[in-house]
Amino acid sequence: MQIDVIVLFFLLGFVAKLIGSNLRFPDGFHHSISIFLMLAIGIKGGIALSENFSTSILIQAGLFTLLGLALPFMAYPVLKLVGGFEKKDSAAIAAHFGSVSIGTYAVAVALLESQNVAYEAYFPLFVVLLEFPAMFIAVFLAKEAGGKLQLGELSQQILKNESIVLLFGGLLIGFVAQAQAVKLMPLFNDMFYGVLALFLLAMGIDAADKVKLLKQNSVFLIAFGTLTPVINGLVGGVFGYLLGFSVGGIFLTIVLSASASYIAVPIAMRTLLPDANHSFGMTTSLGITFPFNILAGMPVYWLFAHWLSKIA
Amino acid sequence: MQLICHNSAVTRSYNGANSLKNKIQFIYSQFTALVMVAIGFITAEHNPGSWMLFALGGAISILAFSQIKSRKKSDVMAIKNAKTQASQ
Repeated sequence: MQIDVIVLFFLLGFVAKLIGSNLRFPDGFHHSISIFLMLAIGIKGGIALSENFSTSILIQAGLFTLLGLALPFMAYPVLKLVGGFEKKDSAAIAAHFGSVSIGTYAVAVALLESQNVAYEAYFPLFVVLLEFPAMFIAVFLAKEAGGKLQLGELSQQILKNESIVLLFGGLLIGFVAQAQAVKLMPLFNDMFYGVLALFLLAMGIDAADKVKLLKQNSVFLIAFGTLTPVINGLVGGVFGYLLGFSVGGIFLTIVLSASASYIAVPIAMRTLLPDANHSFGMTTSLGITFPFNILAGMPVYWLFAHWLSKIA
Repeated sequence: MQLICHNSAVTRSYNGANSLKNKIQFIYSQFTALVMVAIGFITAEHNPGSWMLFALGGAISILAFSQIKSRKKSDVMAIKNAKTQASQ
């Protein structure tokens, strides 16, 4: 699988910032395109869900929740024992790696569609479900680290979290509207790739800013930010294969497992673990894991998905 | 005398823990570098971007070497400073 043209926009933003260009988006523009992408992903997934709804999807959804519970537990001991981070910092970073990156998912979907590869179109349901468990695990890790937040308080925060509201809301709108949602498609479907390209340009600028911040524990964080997606992706690939997904579905499961959140979790972590150093998680997920996944990881994940789908 | 003994014990234990942590991080980084290069080799035939994995593996390995070197230097300096302070 070749690197998609939209990835070049990420490189443009990244290189522009590194060479000191004054390229920047107007305030709030980046946020607006994030809202657009989350709604578009949710609505398209909702329509697909209404067309394919079955009990097996509900079982898969339950298992995806379990996958989301397992991923932060894999990262936490590495951060604490190898990275030498404090409990609260390890918990905060691990939570990022248990959740998903909407941008990485959007790039993966764009790659599949540009190559005309079929996939389970109701995947946005799993994207939403993978956002939740990491936040609950964060509470558990927060308690371990001396946090005091109650589950009820956390549930409120989860429901109020912007990305959850938009993804879940979009899913519901698509699910309820079904054929009527076709009216929305000129905006949410036809313009998706153009907006995604702008989003990646903005992400390139942000990622370059985060890379510049890498100082303390930088080599470990680079190693962690590149090895963790590979390990999580391996687990996700086997998981997708066992659930009987198509090659496109296995690829998306790998990508979701390999990605790290930089929108929903950082916001939640600031409330859950106010004393933790939040720059570590954000820098690693946005400055290392996101570029690694979209530049070097995707072709490898695709080959792994292809290889897994041939085992039968 | 007691203070000097205490200072040197603290320095030794600090240095021992730090040195172990540095070694573990170095091994982890080298392992990551090896994994990146291995994935690059395995997928080279079908992956036009495999050179990025080789470059990444190489960069991580070199950075890990330079970091452990600089940390060793700073540890030696810390011990020297502690000894000087203790003798004063």
